[in-house]
Amino acid sequence: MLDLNTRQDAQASTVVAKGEIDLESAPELLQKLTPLFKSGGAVRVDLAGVAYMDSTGVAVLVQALKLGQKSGAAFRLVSPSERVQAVLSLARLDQVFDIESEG
Amino acid sequence: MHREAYELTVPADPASLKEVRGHFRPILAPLAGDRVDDLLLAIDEACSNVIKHRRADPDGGPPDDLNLRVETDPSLRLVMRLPAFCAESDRAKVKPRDLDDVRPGGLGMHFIAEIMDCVSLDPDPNRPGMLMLTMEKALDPGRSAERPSGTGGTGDA
Repeated sequence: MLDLNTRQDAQASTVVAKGEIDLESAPELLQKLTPLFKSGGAVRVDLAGVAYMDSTGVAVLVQALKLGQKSGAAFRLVSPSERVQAVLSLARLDQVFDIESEG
Repeated sequence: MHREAYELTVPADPASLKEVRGHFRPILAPLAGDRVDDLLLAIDEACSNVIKHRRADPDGGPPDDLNLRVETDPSLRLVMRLPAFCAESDRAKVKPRDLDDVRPGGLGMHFIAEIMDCVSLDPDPNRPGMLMLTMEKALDPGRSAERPSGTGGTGDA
């Protein structure tokens, strides 16, 4: 199960994801992220509460990165969980994304 | 360790993936320790591949059900078999891709190849025209999995 909530402030829209991102749930994340790139501000996805992610989750993050490049909006990952970091590292994408930590 | 076999059959549907992971986690956790998440990822990627092949080819692709068999043996080797993984005609499409090309998709077989010691695709004896995926992993870090003769590494998987 994947729980998605969107927070907006003056600087950015942030989607807070909690749960598991797989072939079933990854399309929901993409659906949530895609319209945010039209707002013009930065787009962030908080992955601190993601206990599991597979390659379809990675694919959504890469799609979002591409959407950001196309629209000129910054795209950042926030506090990815250990599991998400491990999967990004396995995909050799840990250096590709802007990653910020939120204490 | 005794030889043990665990089998699960679920609908070839994305909604089954959580059930697959939930079923095998308690089985693999005592055997694999902190590598259990990686092994579950390999299983998930293999099952996702079947589901995607079935969606792409409902008539000639994998059947409605997804069957997964996990075996452990006394030499601490884990063998996972997924019959009807894909049609023989799709063999060339099932391979890890170039990671320098940053684009969505195509990472599943790369993950499997990175996590497992040995991956092979062989004709499924029960389903003509289909291939069976076999993945192996040595659970003891001091051992390396022996590759059965006639099976390749990940290059042809």
